[in-house]
Amino acid sequence: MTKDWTDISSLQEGYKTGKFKPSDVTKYYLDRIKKYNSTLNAFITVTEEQAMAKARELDKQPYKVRPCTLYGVPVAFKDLYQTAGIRTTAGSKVLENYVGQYNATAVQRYLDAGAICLGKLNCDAWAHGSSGENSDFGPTKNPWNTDYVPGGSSSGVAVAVAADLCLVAAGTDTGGSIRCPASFCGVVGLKPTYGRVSRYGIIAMASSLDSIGHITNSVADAAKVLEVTAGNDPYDATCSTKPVDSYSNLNKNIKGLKIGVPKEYIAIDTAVIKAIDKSIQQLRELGAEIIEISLPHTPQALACYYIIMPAEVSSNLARYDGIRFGNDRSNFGAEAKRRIMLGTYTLSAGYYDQYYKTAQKVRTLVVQDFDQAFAKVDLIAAPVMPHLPFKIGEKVADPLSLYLEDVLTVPVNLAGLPAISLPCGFSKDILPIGMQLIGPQFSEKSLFAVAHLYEQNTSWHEQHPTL
Amino acid sequence: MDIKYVAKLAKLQLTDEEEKKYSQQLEKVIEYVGQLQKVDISKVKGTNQVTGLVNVSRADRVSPCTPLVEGYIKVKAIFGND
Repeated sequence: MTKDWTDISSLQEGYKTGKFKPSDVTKYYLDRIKKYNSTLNAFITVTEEQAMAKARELDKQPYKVRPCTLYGVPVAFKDLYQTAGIRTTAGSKVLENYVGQYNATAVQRYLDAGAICLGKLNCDAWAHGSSGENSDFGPTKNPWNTDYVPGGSSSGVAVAVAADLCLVAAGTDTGGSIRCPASFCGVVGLKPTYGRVSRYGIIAMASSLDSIGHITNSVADAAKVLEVTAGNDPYDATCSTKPVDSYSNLNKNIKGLKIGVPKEYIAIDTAVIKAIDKSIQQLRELGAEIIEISLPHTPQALACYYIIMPAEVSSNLARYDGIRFGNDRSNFGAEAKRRIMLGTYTLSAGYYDQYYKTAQKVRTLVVQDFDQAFAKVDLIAAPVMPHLPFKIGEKVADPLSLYLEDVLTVPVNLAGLPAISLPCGFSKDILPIGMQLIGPQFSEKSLFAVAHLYEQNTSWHEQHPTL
Repeated sequence: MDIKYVAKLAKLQLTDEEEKKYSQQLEKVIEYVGQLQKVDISKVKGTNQVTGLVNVSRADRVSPCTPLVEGYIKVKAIFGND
């Protein structure tokens, strides 16, 4: 069948008018996965049978009878989201045979809203990485050029959406793990406020930083999905009780809106610098007032993150002893071992005050930087990544060089803020570039509105890789 | 960094080659994060979490018990017959 939908609303329009049925659409995506997954390695598990069963069930209950937000929307989940009866590997050999007993709250909300699960997506093992190369199931490839990394850790999530292997994909962002691959693959990536979406049932990386978000083709889709996933969950005590806004109402006049451009957020590749400058100019033309701001602790934020994150990682991964479930600890890959040891070291007797406690205090300074900025501006615009996507294998030998790539994404996680990554240009070799908009906690509605307006006035999101 | 000691604390078994590789890589990271020692934090309190939530607990409500049979609580069988 030919595809004549581009987003959730045009897909559901097709269902409404009877142009096609959920089983037709599911088959379309399953066929594409069969055709392209061997090259891209985006999926670890494809749940063809379950997907077709759910699609046929929806065929019998047309949209008109059961109008729900994600009716018939084919989704896939990063393999950290636990799914009842379907294995959840976290991209690690430790859990290669682990089949969970219950659905993560987020998974359940997608399914209850009518979504069809196509499978589980590749990622850097335990979400450790910014390139997608750390998966024990092999690296995911960038659909724009398969010699290049797709970004990580939600590598399969961005690739599946960019390569049209599903319509919506669910990921996690602890230090940029949604925004980075969204930027490298030219799709929209949302990292919500910490606590906006329940973490229950999603394998923990660093519990005070983990944020549950998604990647889509458009801002409108991102808003629609958040209306489904957001909201309090009694199973996650850090999940906010604040009411969920009607995010999909995207109308907003941004005349006079103040957008801050932090002078410390500097990209390194000239193509990225140019694309961001042009995008900021476009935001100005759309009516925003652009103000230069300062987030002085940006360089220290990265060092702070690389103490707090591994500390939390080492304690979260301590539970994998191979006794109750999963394989033993010799199955951890190199990056997990490095992070476990780094965290163990900074938490060990004699070093706790010097590293962990100091980092917690620097975290306060990072939060205060943003508080002071948001006293002056409504939103912040910045590049997502300092560089363009790099070649697979280029940074494998030197982990620190890869850690430094996270400098523009981790401060947002330390402060628990929402941010959205938007396609904003291409390099001359046709590799995507992303811009992030950052807001105060729980400002998703205004982020979506500004991002939507930008998207309406640009065509980057309409470009797709040829496979 | 005493890599053997840290690996023991972390319950990881490393080969000699791994010990050498990881200690070089991790020394570089530790040197990098060491820059925080230069930040003035004398008047700053630490941040453990960013939700602002305090003492989250569920409402303590009494809900009905499963039916009592001759004073015992009746539950579904845990094991099958086979």
